[in-house]
Amino acid sequence: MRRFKHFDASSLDEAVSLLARFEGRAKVIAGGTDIVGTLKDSVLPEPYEALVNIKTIPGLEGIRNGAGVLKIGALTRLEDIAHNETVQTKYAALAQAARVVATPHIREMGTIAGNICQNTRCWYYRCAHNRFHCVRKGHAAPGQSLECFASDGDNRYHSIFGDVKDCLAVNPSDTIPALIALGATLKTTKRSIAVKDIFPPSDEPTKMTIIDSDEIVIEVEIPEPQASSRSAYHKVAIRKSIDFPIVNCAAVVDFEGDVVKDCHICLNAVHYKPYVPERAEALLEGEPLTDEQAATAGEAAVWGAKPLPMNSYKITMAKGLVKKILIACREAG
Amino acid sequence: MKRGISLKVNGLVCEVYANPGETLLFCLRERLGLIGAKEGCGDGECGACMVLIDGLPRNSCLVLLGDVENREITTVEGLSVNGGLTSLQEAFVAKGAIQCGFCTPGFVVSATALLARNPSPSEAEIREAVAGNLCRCTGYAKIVEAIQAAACGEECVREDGSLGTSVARLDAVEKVTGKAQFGADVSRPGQLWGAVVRSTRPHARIVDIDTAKALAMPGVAVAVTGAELTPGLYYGVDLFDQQVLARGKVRHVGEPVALVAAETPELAAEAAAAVEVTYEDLPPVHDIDAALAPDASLIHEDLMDYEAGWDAIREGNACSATYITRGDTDAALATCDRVFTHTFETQIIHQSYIEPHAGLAEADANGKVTIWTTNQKPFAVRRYMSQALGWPMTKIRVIGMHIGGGFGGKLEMGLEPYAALLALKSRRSVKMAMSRKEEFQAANPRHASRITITTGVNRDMKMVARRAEVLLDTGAYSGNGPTAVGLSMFLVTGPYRLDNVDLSGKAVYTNKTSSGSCRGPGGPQAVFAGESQIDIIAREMGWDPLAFRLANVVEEGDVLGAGQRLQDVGVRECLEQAAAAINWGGEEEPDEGVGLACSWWTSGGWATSALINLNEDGTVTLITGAVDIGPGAKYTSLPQLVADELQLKPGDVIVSSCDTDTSPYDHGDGGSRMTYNVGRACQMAAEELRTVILERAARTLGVAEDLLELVPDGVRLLGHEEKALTLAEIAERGRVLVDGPIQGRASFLADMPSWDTDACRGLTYPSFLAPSFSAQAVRVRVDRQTGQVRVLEAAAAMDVGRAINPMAVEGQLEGGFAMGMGYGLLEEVKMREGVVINPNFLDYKLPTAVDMPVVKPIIVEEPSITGVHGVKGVGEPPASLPAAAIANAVDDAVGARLMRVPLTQETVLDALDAAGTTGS
Repeated sequence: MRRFKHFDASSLDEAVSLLARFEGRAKVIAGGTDIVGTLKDSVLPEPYEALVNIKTIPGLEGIRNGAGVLKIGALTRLEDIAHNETVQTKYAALAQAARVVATPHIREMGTIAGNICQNTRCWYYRCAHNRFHCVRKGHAAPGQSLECFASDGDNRYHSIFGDVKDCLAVNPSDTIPALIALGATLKTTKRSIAVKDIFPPSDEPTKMTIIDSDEIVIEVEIPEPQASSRSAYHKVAIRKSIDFPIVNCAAVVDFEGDVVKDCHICLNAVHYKPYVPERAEALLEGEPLTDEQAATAGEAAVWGAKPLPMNSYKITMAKGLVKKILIACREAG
Repeated sequence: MKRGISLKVNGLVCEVYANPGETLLFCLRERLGLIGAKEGCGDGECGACMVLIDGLPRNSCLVLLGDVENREITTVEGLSVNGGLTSLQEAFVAKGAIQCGFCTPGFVVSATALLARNPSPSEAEIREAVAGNLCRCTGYAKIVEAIQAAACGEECVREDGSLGTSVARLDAVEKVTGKAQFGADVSRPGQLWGAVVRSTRPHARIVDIDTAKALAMPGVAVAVTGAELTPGLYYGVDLFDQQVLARGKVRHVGEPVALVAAETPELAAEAAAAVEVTYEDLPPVHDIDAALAPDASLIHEDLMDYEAGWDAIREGNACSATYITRGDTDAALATCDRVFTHTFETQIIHQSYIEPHAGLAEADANGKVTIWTTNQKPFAVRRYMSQALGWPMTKIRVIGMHIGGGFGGKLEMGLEPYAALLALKSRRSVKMAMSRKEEFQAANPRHASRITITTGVNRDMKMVARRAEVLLDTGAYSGNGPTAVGLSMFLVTGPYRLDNVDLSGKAVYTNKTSSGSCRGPGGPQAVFAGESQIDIIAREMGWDPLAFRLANVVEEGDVLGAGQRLQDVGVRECLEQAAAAINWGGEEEPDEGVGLACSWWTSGGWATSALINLNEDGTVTLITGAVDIGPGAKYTSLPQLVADELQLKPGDVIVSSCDTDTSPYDHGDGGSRMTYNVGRACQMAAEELRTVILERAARTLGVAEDLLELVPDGVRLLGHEEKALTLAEIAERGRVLVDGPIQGRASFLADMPSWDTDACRGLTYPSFLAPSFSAQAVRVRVDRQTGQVRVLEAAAAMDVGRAINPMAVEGQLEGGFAMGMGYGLLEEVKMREGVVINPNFLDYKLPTAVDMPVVKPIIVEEPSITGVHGVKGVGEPPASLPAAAIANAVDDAVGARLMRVPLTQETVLDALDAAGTTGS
């Protein structure tokens, strides 16, 4: 691992000023499960010079159930979220998502904020020693041009909704679909922003989120779902442990009897940012949620998909997954 | 940025002066000497580095020192109470949960944390709790069983019995406590860390190597390039085509080009990156077709000049061509009722031992280099180094450490010559370890293949003829390609009676990492192809796949391979038992299916020797050059065979470690050869020792030898209850009074069964010694929405001749199935222009504990007339069958026939899509 400076911040102010001082060349470390690997593998053309440990800042951890809103501290570990009774009962999709991140050991270390802000897993991007000078990294070595190696390479796990400035990497987070479907908001040192809005516009593909390099996530807030609503999450992954999703999906459906009153669906690992299939949501609302409706919603969810040579199978998977999640919502409770 | 950091480790407070950005794992191992936590991946994917922090399991490779100041850290060393084992550790020992032992501390730590918070977990909870720990040896079955036993409070008693009983491994306690020393666990004060500068190009001329910048860095001691080595020296397994450091040109990404040594591993890595190599690219050859194209760029211009250890047929980019012909295949095919031709493809997989290559070298005053290493063939390392560096063997000493899994991947030279060169040049000890990325990019994985088979059958269910062409992609150097291709040809016919076979094979150079040996080299490729086609034919002809196999399997006296006549054939019983174990022919749920495969394999040969000393207290010391990569013969069947011959308990046998300076020669641990060969030498040496003991006792007692018998711990007169002399008395008498210390010794080289020399050309390994037979059956379910294949049930049957230690044999069947299932469903080394794009245990997918079904091990015993106590080799074959059995079951389940492994979700889904049968 390349050498870097390591700071223990005792307050958010100190952490922010340290991050600001390094002008983008410092990174927050919380669980460390993503960033340490990135550093060890020398993935980036210009490695971070410093890590700012925020685990030494009091008050960033824990789940509080307030008036109509659940507050999850940024440093709350995924395993604690998965096993929290309130989350399990009222925010089932989030508990189910947190429950299947990586391995039980990684969930003991990894935090909710880290899971939201994590870097992409594109294997060309993450190849050790920066072997592929890809568009996402943005720094061409002298004499080398930037390209997306997935476009003519092994793209079986890449985007099915097209590229963003030539980059085909996807957002791999397990918890984000659940947070978006549940209408979560992030509180950071700079602002309060809906989770669905933290992703960059399509002309900035090299960033996972628009959270600034000197901005720190403090808390995730989730409004309490309607008592008549139900949520579910599922991921399709290769193994039952360790793996990131090939496709994952969360949905929150509010019912009035059999009829869908309101519906939020979010897929991930299908595009550079989480994918909200608005057509599917729209067609479900005001109708009874039959198996046929769920299947139609699955079809609608992948409307406009542009598969790559090796990943049209992900469309089949996504369709089936949306249907499965919707039925799971119907059957839950 | 170093500072004093206070840590509380295993209840003791200690202060280290270190960078807070250092990993906890490095600190524990290198500063505190707590080697129980292992580095298997460095990325939190394998769990070998697991420790408890405030009681919770953590991957210490991802934890930074600054983050654990003043926290309670417990390593595996801190678990035992008063030096004894915990009940969990005791269960691991007694239940056979330990093979190579490298992952063991991590599992023990995870399971300890589980039992602390959930004293009576379900099996699912146990599997889940270790889902972040990878094991490549056991298939997890016995690990789960051990944790269950500990949770139930079952008293686990270690067996110390005779032949045929499940004696606990003699090395289990040191492994379960984290005390066993593996390749990276040897350290020396003042040691340097070595690093390899590796080629970044698949095929290029080396124009210049400039080490000046690297050497100018503070803390960098020495650098070595190929130009410093004696030119013109090559080494290799069968074909001597490889040099220690690339000279003139590089042939694959990752090929060693230069070496550096520095004060810390970080500095060594930075120095390696600072060595400037100028290349002039040559046209790369990425696959078999490109390599065999008429205008292909030659990877080895000097191929025809290389020395070869057999009658090699070579041409262009094919480093070895082999042929087996029996009968008249053309004529036979012309008369068949039906003829089928299919082509199958297989991928590159990595052996994925959890311990990366590692070792330490130091030079003495005479310039003799000692290397502590984790290699399957320490004597071969000495020989290869002598050949490749031109050093006499008097200057090379290789000491075999515990090996954290090998599966053939540590049969060839690893880091040994590099550490040796750096140690010699720097006159300091040099430690080296490969990263997991280097393992994937630059070790010696399993060959990718393309196999085309034509089979002719008659309506009476008889197979009449088989023709096959086997092409193996052997990568940049021959590695084990010439032998692997021959073995593939032996297996591609299956264990079937065929009077007409026409087989050809080629090992082909490409600009990839060279492929070596991997558990049954050439086996899984050939079994996948051959056994898939058996099912395709059966389905097409409307035959039951089991009945079709049973109608054609070989019997005693039949001819197979290159014309060898078979003895002791147990394949029919294996097939029948495996099929019955999964209820073959019973009712099936929708989208469920069953599949079978059967095969045969050799008990490997090669020379060995053993020496046994009778100790003064009546115990014995077995001195052997054998090492153990995990299956455990060295710590189970060898002492069991010695003990049996001498009326002792296995626990009365001290087993020496391998040191090429002091141990009798052994070929190495590979080729399923240990018990058959080394076991035979041990039994012979023990027999000699027994004879000497009886001679000495007879003289002491003044009676004829035939009036004496050996009994536990002594000798008695026939017909008497009392011992006349104890072994201790006999030994002591030899030591101080007369005739000297008592020894038994043996040298052994098995006679290979005869074969038809006219039937074959170019084979390196022309007959199978004491062939074993195997059959496996699986029940799978296919998810039509995701393409996911789940193995619900599996049975692995093997005719092992005689099971000296049934628990150890079961471990091979269960672990082999897991490895074969990974091959069939999950694993593939993927490259782009020679660069491995998935060089880690996240993107390269080993089965985890939650992915594994329960595997039923079935031991069939058809004793081998030539094997010691009837044994046949066991280690490799169980990994060769699962891919075929699973592919057959998938076809049975959903009518999707996959012609390439692995059967990943996307390929299954694409096949279902093509058939219009994806579900919803």
